[in-house]
Amino acid sequence: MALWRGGERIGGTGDLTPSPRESTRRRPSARGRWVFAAVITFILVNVLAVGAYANSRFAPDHQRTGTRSSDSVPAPVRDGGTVVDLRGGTLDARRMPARTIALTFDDGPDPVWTPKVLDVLSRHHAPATFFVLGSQVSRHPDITRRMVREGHELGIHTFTHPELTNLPTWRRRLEYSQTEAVIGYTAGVRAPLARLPYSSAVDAVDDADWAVVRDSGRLGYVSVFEDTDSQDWARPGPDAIVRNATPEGDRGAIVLLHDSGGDRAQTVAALDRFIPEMQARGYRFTTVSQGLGWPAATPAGTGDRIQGGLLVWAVRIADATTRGFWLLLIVVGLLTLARTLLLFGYAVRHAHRRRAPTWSWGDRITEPVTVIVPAYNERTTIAAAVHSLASGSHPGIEVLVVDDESDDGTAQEVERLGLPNVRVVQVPGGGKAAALNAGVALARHDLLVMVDADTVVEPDALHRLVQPFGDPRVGAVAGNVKVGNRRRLIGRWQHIEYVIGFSLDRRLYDTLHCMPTIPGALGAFRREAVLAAGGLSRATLAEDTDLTMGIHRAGWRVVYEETAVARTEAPSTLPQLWRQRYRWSYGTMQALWRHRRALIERGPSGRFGRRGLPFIALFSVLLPLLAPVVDIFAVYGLFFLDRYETVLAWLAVLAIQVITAILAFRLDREPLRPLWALPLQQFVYRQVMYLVLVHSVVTALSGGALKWQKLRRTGEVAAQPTAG
Amino acid sequence: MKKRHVARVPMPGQPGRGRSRTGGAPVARGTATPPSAAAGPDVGVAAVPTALPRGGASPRPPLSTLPAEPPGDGSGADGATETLQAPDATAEIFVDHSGRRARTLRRVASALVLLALLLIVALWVSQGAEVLGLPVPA
Repeated sequence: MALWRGGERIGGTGDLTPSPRESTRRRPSARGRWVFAAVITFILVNVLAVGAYANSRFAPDHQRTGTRSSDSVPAPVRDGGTVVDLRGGTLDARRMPARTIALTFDDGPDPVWTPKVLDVLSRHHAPATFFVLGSQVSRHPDITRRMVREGHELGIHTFTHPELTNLPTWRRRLEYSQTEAVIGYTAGVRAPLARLPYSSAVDAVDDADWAVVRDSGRLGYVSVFEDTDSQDWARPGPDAIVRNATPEGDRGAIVLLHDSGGDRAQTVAALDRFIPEMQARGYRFTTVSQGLGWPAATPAGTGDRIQGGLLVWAVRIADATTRGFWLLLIVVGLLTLARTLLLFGYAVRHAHRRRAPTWSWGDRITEPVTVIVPAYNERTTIAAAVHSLASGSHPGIEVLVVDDESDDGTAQEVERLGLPNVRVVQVPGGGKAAALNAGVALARHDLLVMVDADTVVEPDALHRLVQPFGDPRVGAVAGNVKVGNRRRLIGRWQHIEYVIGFSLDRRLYDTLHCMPTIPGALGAFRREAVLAAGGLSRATLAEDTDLTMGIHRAGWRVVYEETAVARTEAPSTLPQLWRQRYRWSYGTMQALWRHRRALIERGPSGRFGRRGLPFIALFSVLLPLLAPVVDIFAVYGLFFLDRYETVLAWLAVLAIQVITAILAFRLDREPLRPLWALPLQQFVYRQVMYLVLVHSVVTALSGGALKWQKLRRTGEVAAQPTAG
Repeated sequence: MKKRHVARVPMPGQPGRGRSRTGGAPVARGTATPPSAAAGPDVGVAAVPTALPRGGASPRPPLSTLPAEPPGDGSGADGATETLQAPDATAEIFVDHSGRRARTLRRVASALVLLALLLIVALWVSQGAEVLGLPVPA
């Protein structure tokens, strides 16, 4: 046997009661959750940072600073030593022997063009030297391995293609060592040759370049320049590429080409002509090392292989993550756009239709109504709520306060009002759903209105709320709930959210016949519809959503009545807001899951299930769940992308939100003044909202039981004068 | 665990919770007062089923088919009082009282996070050794 409170088991006898130790062990502490979230954030930051590094977002690309003096460059280098070896501490500048050509390709491997280049080289039996980027090798290890397998030589062209002269020594060392490591991991060989990014002929080497070349020598690398620059990067046409690449007379040459960095069709075409032409003139094609008579590449060391393996997988994971985020960003963008267009189209049409002079629900409804007010420790607000309800302009109002075992004198507070059309019923504590069911069972009338005990209604709200029952197909009506406590920023934010939610979203849902929730704060029902739906269940924490879906499935229409206005007290602190939204999102997911069979059923249930459930899941769960990707990219963009474009994109998103909010406020005839808080909403409120959803999803996945949590009332709304 | 019946019994270790807040003598609790007959006093105590019969997609078995639960032990203030509740149409959705799912999820997540952290540390250490010019074993 067990004792229940608020719809949850709070204790009992025998073996049904978990020991305190068990309960403590099973529940991770809030601190633990935050630590876990911080660790996840740390991992994400690392992954994105690796991705940014591998995509050259850290170093400026070809922004050269300083003067172009070449006083420190030794004469033998300037005079033509295209291969500069400073490894032994002394300068050894060499060039290709006569009638020998070493084709060199920079910036690869590229998944499209490098295989085509390799095909041409293979067809003409011409080995070449590929100065590869470490980041590209990480992404295309198969192509790198093919290069080595087909007898080509690999050289280092740095990891991310930065302007090396602008980098400190440690970064240069890192660029070289990382590239050598990934070559070692993927191809199993060492690469002693290096070429500076943006380097050209040896006579163009200046003092800054020379310092880098000296550093390269100290690190054990031979710097390779070029004798002829095909200038294929400018895509001058195959003829010009062949002309540029051809050495004078029978001189040997190191020829610069590119197998990556854009469309290389001209390079491939030129190569297919250049090689046979030069072979016909008696030229032989070699790698740089072969041309100089140096030994072939030695196997890579274990340290390089391990370091390279870590890097390769880090780059792959980072690339996959970044690609995934881009994909999600596109999905979020498309969903947001679709939602905005739907809201604009349907909401405006809905408002125009409802405000037309010819609009009518049917006969005027004057039947008496029972207003059910479930209350648990609502002493602060109950009097104002009941008073506003009991004094409504609708004929024959019965207010039924269902006191759910309050211990703060809620029932006595209502009794003190001495209102003749108010009844108080005390029921055993069973939670809100049970209290509402009790109210339904005890109600004297067949038209029921359910109102939260912290909600104050306008005098004509009840009358207006039940008018849609003039249409016999209507089983439930959602009222227009507004946040009453707007003095603080958090109240204003919720006010904006409520106005948009009611003025736009509910109009859209109404039009599409898939209203997910009749708000607990103000909703009207036919008793028949409630009974057809099975009443209010405690299976979910969003009993209002659950009931609404049940009513849909029972074949009743659920509509929105914008003119029935009530003011409710919204959470006044972030922790309280968190708790409320945590319950809402968890409850909504529960309700969606509970009614999932509607997707395959026939009749009204199937009609609602196939239209409403995917719509609600998409826009109420999936879209908010993916929303963090916008903020992640905003931060990522500020650091690693074009800041101007990032800010512009962020402002564009904000502008869409502002326009949407203005439309919602206009349709709801609300003053626009509170909208000044909308830009601020982007920085705390939005993040809290999606963190709550993530929290709910994790709770659902882990099977955690969520409690009903009582929010603290300030009584601010109750203290306000009622309009009218 | 599915909740079938609720018996109001004093909670071990929480003597204050055992007493009904309705106060006074134990009140006989049974079926709901029909709406038409509920025109009694404006303030009162009622005991009603906390779930209504479902007419929609998930019909609920009649109460008479439910197994009876023995009443409380009668040792509490209102131990003689028992409220029968009809079961909810479904069990608590997503809830796994055994905690097995949470443990599995926590273990998998922890393992993945630990692996990621180890890889990150290994990556930074290997790159850091290069930056600092420390020898990397060949």
